[in-house]
Formats: sequence, structure tokens, C-alpha cells
Amino acid sequence: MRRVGTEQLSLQVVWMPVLDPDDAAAALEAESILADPRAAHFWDAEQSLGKMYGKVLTLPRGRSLAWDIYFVYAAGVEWKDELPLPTDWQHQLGMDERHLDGEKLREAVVALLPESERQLLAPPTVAAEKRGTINF
Amino acid sequence: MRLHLCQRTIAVLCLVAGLGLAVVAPTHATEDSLPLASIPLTNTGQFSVVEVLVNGAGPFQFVLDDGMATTVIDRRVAEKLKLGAEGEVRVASLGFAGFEIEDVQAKLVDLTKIWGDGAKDGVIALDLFSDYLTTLDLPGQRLILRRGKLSPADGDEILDYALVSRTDGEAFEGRQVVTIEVAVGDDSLIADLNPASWGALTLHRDYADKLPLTFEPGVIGNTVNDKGTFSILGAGFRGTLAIAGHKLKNPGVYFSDAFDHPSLGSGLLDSFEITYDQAQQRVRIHKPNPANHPMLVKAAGLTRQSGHGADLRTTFNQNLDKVRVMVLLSPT
Repeated sequence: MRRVGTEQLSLQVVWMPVLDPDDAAAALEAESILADPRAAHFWDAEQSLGKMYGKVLTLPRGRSLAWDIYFVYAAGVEWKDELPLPTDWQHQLGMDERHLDGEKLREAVVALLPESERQLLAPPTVAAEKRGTINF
Repeated sequence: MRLHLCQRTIAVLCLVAGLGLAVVAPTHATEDSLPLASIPLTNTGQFSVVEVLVNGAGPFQFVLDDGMATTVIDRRVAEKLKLGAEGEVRVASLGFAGFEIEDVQAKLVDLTKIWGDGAKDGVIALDLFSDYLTTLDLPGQRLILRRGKLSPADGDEILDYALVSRTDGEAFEGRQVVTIEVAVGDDSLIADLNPASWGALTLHRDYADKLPLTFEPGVIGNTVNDKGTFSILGAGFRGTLAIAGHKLKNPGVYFSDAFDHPSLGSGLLDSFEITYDQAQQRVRIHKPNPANHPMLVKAAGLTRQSGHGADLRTTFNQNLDKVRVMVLLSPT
């Protein structure tokens, strides 16, 4: 988020229990990982969102639960009756063409921003590229 | 086997009659008919489980078998209730969320030999409810019983089905499953309909070399049967799976040498309501409005875990003029 320093971006983080120690307390603690004024954090105890996206997206290895996954939506994509389909997405569920690449995801986000905002953004840092982490 | 309604259900029906409302058994597909019972299901990931009172005692956790087979009661339960030690017995009543079935024949089996210490307390099969339209409401996680019958097969939602023997060890001798015709791409297959069981589109491993796939199959787990332990490969089918009039694009598919028969499991069917008319051997495969899917309603209404703010869908839509990134993560 810090790398894409624009107010034209918002982040919704949905924490869900997948691994043994996961619970609501752990999710609260994890907020600090993606702390940003533009971020809103949610706890999905029943994995409802991950299960629903698992139905509409083809995930690696026939997986039915979407998690460790990153969706990007263009401005104007509305959540009406059905789940909003992402404009672009990446994951860490297995090696395929959508496997997470932090820089490519950043580029996907930036490409959807208004031209005026794109020009204000800083180029990626070497440190961030080395980490290979998500750093919008 | 006889079936009767509990006092509370009778009271509701009397109230309906007292209000001058007719309860009429419909002559065709009966989605609007009054449910006689709505029994909660729990999906364990492997099975669907229902709570059952055996002769008024319990509740016990019974696996719901989406085939046709004799009711099975685990020996631990049988000993506790003094039903006997082995063989077959007659049980005075099985109770399901206020709905009772009387005089049920049941087989006593040591289920720990099949499923280990985590074995459930018994198994009931769909034919226990053969006098009723039986709906497996997978989005709503309920088993719903109604009177009535389904309209003739229309190829859109209603299909004729065939019963095929699938004996699965001594405990489930004589078991039959519901099979329907489906189209996997251009190929027509007869598939077991297993909405209460684990799996998606599951096929013998030989199909992995024949079908176009969205990505290479990878091992996702193992399955054990009386012939040994077999790997399960997960992949995505590049094409359309047609189930009646429903077209599923690029569905997930599992392959294994252990899968002797094509089958359709809960991972594939969990957006559907499956209604069985056992008297006519018809099944209705209905997809309710996805907007009403209980899971989607829950997802939309997720609340912020700290501080104040709108629910997830509202937050998403409040930022309509912005690019949005949504991430789904495990916190540890």
C-alpha cells in the first residue's frame, strides 16, 4: 500500500482460519502486517468468502478454498447480488501463471489508476523487489 | 417402516388448517409445498452429518449416505442403548429435528474398523425417506422432506436416474447409488450422484491423459480402500461439464486409480438443491438464486474486526470510484 501512494486505492483484508493456530485473536494481531489508513480488516470465521470465490474461480489443483489470494478490482466494479469478479488476481496456492509476483501485481494495480495518479507514484525499490513481497 | 409426525408438527399443521389454509399435496415439482421437516446438516469436509435420536436417546452423529442402504448403527451406540451386539435389529424410532421415523431395521456394525476412532455413530441412507420428496439443500445445509412428486424429466432440471449397486464392504452390502447421465465436454458419462460426500468431478486416473486441463494434475491427498492407498490428483477440466441443463465451465476435477466410477461430489454440487423422488426414480437438480446463498450472505455481511465501519460489501461499494485490492489471508 505504501508503494502505491494514492488515495485512489482501498484495501479490504479478510482474515480467515486455515492453519491450526488461526483464530480471531491472531487475526487482530495480524492487522499490523497490513496497517494502512486505506485498509479495512475483517474476520471470516467460516471462510465464507474464500469458499464462495473457490466456486467461481479456477484455483490450482482443483482447490475449493480461495486463500492466500490477492484480488484487484477496477473502479466501477460493484458488488451487487453476486460476488464481484476481480479484474486481476494472483495467489500462492500453486505454481501457475497467476502465482503471486509482487511487482506484477503492483503493475496491475497501477494500470487501473487514473493517468494523473500513475505519474505521481514512486518506482519500486530494490529492497522490495528482493523481498518479493506485496507492497502496494 | 412407518413414519409419524411429532406433536409440534401436528400442532403447526392444525394451526394452518384452523386458519383456513389448505395443505394440498401437489401433483408436480413441489418446491412450494409445505416442508414436513427441515433437518440441519453439518458438512465435515468428508461427509454430511445429521443429528439423530435413537429411541429418544442422543443425539448421535450419523453420516448421511446419499445412496440407498440399510441403516447402520455403530456397536458402541448399540451397546450403550442395549440394542444388541451384532446382526440386525429393529429400532423403535429414529428422530430428526422433531421428525420421527418408527420401526426401522438397522444393522449393527463396528464402524471404528472402517473409520477408526473418529467414526461417527451410524449411517442413514436416503431410502430411509423414500416415501417423501427428499431435498438435499446444500447451500442451506439442510435435508428437507416434503410430500409430492416431481414432474417428468425435462432435461433442464429434472432427470430420470438409475440405481446401480455399489457394495462398499460387508457393512454396506446391497448398497445402491443414484446415477445420472452427464456430459464432460463432448463425452457422455454415467456418474454417481454423491452430493453428501466429499469430491468434485471425480474420475479414474486414466482420464487425466484424455481430458484437456487448465493445469497439470498435482497430488492433493490420498484415499484408502480395500485394495490399498491411492493418490488423489487435483486439476481443472478445460471445458464444460453439463449436469442436466446446468453448464459448469472449467470445473475442478479429481483423479485417482481408486475412483472406479465417475462421480459428482459436494465440492461440485454445493450450490445446488438436489431433490429425490424415489418412487419415480427422478431427481431435480436446482440452482437457487446465488444472491441468496447463505455463504454469500455471510461473506457480504462480514463485520470489521476492530473499530467501527460498514460491513464488507458496503465497504467495497463505498469505494466504487477507487481501485480496490482485496486479500484473503490466514493470520499465522
